[in-house]
Amino acid sequence: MASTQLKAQLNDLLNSMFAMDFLDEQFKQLQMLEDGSCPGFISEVITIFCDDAERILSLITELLSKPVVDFEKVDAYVHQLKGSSSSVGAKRVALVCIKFRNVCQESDKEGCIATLHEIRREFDELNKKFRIMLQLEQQIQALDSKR
Amino acid sequence: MDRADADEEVQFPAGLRVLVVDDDVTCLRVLQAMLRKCRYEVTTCSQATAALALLRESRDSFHLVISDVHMPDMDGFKLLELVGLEMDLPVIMMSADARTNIVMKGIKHGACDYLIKPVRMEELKNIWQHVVRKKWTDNNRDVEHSGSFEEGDRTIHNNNTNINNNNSNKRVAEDAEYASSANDGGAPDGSGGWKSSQKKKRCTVKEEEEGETESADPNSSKKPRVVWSVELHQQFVNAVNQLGIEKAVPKRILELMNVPGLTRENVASHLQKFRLYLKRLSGVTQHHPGLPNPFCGPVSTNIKGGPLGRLDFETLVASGHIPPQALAAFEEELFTQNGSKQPVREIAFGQPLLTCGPPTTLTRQFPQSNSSNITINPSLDMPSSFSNWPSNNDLAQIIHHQQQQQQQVVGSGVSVPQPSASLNVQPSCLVIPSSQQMNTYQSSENTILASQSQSQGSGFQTGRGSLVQSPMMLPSQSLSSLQRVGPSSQSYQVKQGPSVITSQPSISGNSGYTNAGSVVDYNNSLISTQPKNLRFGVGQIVDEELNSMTAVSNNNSFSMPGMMSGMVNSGFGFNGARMSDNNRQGRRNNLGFVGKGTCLPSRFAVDEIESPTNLPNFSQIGAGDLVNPENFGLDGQI
Repeated sequence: MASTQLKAQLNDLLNSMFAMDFLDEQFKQLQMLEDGSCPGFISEVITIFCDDAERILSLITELLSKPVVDFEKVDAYVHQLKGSSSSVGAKRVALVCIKFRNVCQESDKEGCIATLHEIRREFDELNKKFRIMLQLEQQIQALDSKR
Repeated sequence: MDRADADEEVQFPAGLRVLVVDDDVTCLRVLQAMLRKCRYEVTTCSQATAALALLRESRDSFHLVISDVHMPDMDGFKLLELVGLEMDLPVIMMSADARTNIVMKGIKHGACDYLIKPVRMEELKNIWQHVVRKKWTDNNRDVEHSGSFEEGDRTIHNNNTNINNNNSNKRVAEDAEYASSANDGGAPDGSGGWKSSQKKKRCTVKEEEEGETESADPNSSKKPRVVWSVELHQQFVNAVNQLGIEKAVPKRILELMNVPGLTRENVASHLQKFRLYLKRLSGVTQHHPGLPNPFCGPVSTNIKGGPLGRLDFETLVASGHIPPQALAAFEEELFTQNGSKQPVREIAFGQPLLTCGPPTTLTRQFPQSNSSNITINPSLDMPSSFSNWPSNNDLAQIIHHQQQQQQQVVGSGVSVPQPSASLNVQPSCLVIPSSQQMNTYQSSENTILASQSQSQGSGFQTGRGSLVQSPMMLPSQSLSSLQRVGPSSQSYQVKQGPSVITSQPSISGNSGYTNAGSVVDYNNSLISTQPKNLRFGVGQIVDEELNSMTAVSNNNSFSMPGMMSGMVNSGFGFNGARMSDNNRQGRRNNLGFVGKGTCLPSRFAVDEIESPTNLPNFSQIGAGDLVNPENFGLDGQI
C-alpha cells in the first residue's frame, strides 16, 4: 500500500532525525500528544515553530547587520528561539542557541554573525526535513482517510 | 497511565484551570497540548498584559498561572508579583533559562515553581499540587495565629505566645517537609509525603486544635477563621497607622481596633502578613530585604496619622489615605472599562483586586473619569520607583498623566493583596462601615465602587506595578513564597534542574492526572478515605451536606468536579467533606480559601460534593464547619 510505504518512509526520516540529533526526546513527547483528540498537533506545532523561527532569525539577522549591535535584543531573541526549539525537540538548533547566547553575552559581533550563520544552516536543514515529514504525514492521512 | 481507570471517573485534578502566558507561540501551543492531555483546562495568552487583564477580570477563573520569564511586554517576575498580590494564585515560572540566579529570583518573587524549558509532561502533571499546597498553606497560616516566619516580624514574634511561635515554626517546617516530600521526585510515594506532613501538621496544630484527630489540618482549629473584611482591615490599618508601623504591636492594635471577638492572635497574624507584604513590596521593588524600605522614600508629609515608620506606603494606607476599600474600588474602576463594574470577588480578606476589564491597553483601563479623583497621597507608584512620593498634587497629575499613557500593566500597580490584607486603596470615604458583614463584602464592594468615582487606582497603577496597592500583599503570596520557598521549604522549590517539579511519575502528581492507579495512590493519601488527607486546608467545607463527600472521597474517586469545586471554592471541598466527621464538632473549619475569595461555583461539582452554592450560606459565621465559599466570612470569629 502506498500508505504503508509512506509510513515507512516517514519512520525512517524520523529515526534518522533522532539519530542525528535533529530531534530529541521532547519531540517524542509531542508525538505522544498527538492522538485522537488532538490530530494534526505535530504538524501544527512544527509549522508554528518553523514560522516563528524564521521570523526570529530574520530579526536577528537584521539586528546584527546594524553598525551598533544591540546585543541584549539579540540575546532576547536567541533566548526565545532556544525556548521554542527546545520545546519542539529541535535539539541541534537549541544547542546552537546556547552557543549563540554565550557569544552575545560577550558582545562579540563577529562571533554572533558566525553563530547566526550556523544556526541558519541548522535550521534550514531541519526545516527541510520537517517539510518532508509534514508532507509525508499529510499524504498518509489522505490515503488513510480514503479507506 | 491507566486510561481506562482514569476514564471511569473524573479524577482530581482534572479540570484544573490553568492560564499559560508566554510570548513564544510554539511553547504556548505545546504547553497547551500537554496541559490538555493532563485534563486541565487551558487558556493561553501570548501577552502578559492581556493575561493580567484576563485575570483581573475574573479572578476566579483560574487556579494556576504558568508564565514565561522573558516576555517583551512585561517581565515575567513582575507578572508573578502582581498575580500573587492581586489574585493570590499560584504562579509557576518557566524559562529556557536555567541559571540558578534566575531560578532563585523566581523563587524569591514568589513562584510556586520554576520549570525549565522544554517542559515535559510529567512536570505538568504535578502542577496541581501547587494549587492545593498553596491553599492549604494559606489556610493554615491564617489559622495559626501568626507565629513567626523566617523573616517574621520581630515584634510580632515577641508578642506572640509560644504556642503561636511554635506553631508557626512547626508549620513552616512542616510546609517544608510537605513541600519537599511532595516534590521529591524520588519519593516513592507522594502519598507518603502527604501523610507524613499531615501527621506533622496534626501534631503541630494540636495545641490549637481540639483533638482534631483525623486531619492535621490546622484549619480545623477550633477558632473560627477571621475574615479580614475591608472594614476590618481598614480598622487594622488605622490602628497601625495610629501606633506607627514600628510600634504597632498586636496587643495595642487590638485595643485600638476594639473589635469584639477579635483576638490578639488574629491581629498578630494579620500584622505579620501585612509586614511581610510590605516587605515584599519593598523587596521586590528595590530588592531590599527586610522591612519594606523602598517605600520610604521621601516621606510624604501629607501622611497623616502616626509616625511614618519605615513604610511610607503602609503608613499611608494605614493612615487611611488609602483605605483598603479605596484600593479595591479603585482597582475596580481602573480596570473596568468604562464603568463596567466587575463583579466583586468575594474577598474575605483583603481585597481582591482589580477587576480588570478586557485586555486592553492600560490606558484604556483607567477610567478617565477617575483620574481627577485620585487623591492618594501615598506614593503611588510612580512609574518607576516607590520611593517617589509625590505630593498630592503631583500625584494627581502623575496619575492623570499615567492614565493617559499608561502602557504598563495596570494591574501591576494595583495589586490587591490577598484578601486578608488588602489595603484597598480607596478614597477614605469608601471605607465601609464596619457593621457590614463580610458576607456582604461583595455587595459592599460594589457599593463602594459604585459610589466611588475615584480611581485611586491610577495612582497606584502607575508605575510599574508598584505594589502600591495594598500593602498587605497577598500574604499568601509573600508568605507562601517565604514559607514555601523559604529556607524551610526550599527543598521543594529550588530545583535547579530542568524540572523543578518533580516529574517522576511516581509522584503524586501523577495521581492528579487521570490514572486511576496513580490517583489512587496519591489521592488515597490525599483524599482517600481519610479526611485528614484531604485536608487541603482549603476551606474545608465541612458541613452536614458535605459529608456526602465522604462518600465520594471514600471511593477515592474524587469526582474531580467536586474536588475542583472544593478547590476552587474553598479549597477542596472534599477536604471539607471528609473533615466534617472529624472536624465538625461545631468547630469551624478553616475555610481554606478564607478570604481568598475564590469561590467558584463549582462547575465540576458532582452531586455528592457540595458545591458552594449548595452549601449553606456561611455568611453566618460560626456555623461550625461551614464554609462559605463566597466569603469566608467571619467565621464566627468576629
